[in-house]
Amino acid sequence: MDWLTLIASLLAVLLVIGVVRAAMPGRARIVDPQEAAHLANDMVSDFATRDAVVCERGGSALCIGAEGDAVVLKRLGSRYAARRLKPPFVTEPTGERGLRIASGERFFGKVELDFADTDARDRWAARLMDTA
Amino acid sequence: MTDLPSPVDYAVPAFVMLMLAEVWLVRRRDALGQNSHGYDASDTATSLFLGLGSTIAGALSVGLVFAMAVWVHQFALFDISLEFSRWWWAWLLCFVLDDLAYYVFHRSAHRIRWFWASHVIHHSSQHYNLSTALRQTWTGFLSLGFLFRLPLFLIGFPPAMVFFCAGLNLVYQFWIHTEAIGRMPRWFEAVMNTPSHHRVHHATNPRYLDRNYAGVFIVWDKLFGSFEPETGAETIHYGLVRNIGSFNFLWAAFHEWIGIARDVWHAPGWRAKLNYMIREPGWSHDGSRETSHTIRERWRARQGDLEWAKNSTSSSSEVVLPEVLPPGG
Repeated sequence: MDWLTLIASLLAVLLVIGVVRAAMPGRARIVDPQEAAHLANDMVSDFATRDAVVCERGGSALCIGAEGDAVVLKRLGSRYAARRLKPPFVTEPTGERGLRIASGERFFGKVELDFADTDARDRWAARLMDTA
Repeated sequence: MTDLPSPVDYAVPAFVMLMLAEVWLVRRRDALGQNSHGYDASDTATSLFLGLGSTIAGALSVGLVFAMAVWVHQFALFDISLEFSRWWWAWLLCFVLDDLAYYVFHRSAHRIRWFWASHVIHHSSQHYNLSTALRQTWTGFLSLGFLFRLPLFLIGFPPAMVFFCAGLNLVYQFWIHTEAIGRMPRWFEAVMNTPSHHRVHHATNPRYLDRNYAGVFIVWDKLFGSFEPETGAETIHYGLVRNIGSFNFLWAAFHEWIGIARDVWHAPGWRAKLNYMIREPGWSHDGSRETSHTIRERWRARQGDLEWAKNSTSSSSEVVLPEVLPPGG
């Protein structure tokens, strides 16, 4: 591979990324808890959602499972990435309505859940702890 | 090194044009309400930078791999020449046998973690489009994937012929990474690898896990019992059973190697340390993790239960189906 080929390849890569960025501006959005539950059940083997909540205008979701576990969904571009979490859950409240859940993995990171209000946040945080 | 051109180099402009055409098609379909989110700029960037990096990594190791092939070829059983007019049948045979070697390599790449650590990069996108085809490994040399082609040199196929056929094989596999094409004609689906067959391969649905390893000819999967047709009955989820959840291309390139290193470091005893490298992805010394086999078997058992429950409706008045989910609040 010579320098000319490398530069031409790099320009082609940037061209395609630019076109995709311009043509596909949409991001994924979970519409309701039912959709979050379906996603969690489909993406995480042998996970059965009992209850789910969609946060941050569809950007993330929390699904509570039947066996004391939970799945967090976080937006990754136009898809979602899922992580099954087992107790003890590591959470911390953020701001008025937020709850941050640690995935335990550096590159997956922490998932930010933004609830409708403080009561909803506290209710779901308590629910998560009760599940465990 | 060889007078033959690299088919991949010549195909790159076509790759770019086809990707742009696919973007246009996906956008048009989305405008008609399909909302497939078939492309994402960050995902495409990760795929293409991994592809570019793979080309550079390949260029760095190609000399050594070619030298090794030439050395092995001196022990060849037959004397086969590159001359096409006289040895056209050898070219055809080489293409077919190279595809068989690819099948064996690819199956191993999903069943042995050392090989998987390199191949996982190609499966790390949750999208399935033409850019995914270019999401290629940076560590192919380290995982020793080239060993699977050595028998071809021992038979007598010249290294230049084998690498040319391997290039054609790679070019063929580009167009099958798309959701834009449904099914090809029945005769074609029966013999060749197609977008439909390869969607199955990239799926994480338990039904489809570790199936359809073919490169060009799907007949290998049918012969060796690893074929699974696309049903269309369930939404396909692409990527990994445990998606990496990041667009960081360095993490995509090296995460499984880092995982192996961590597991080997913490494993109790030499047998466990070795098994973390040579057993199937997901194997663990204490059985705490899931392999594609355990996921499939559990799914099959659940399907069996559901089937039993469905059948019993014909003789009884009610059946318990999975709980319908209540809305969150």
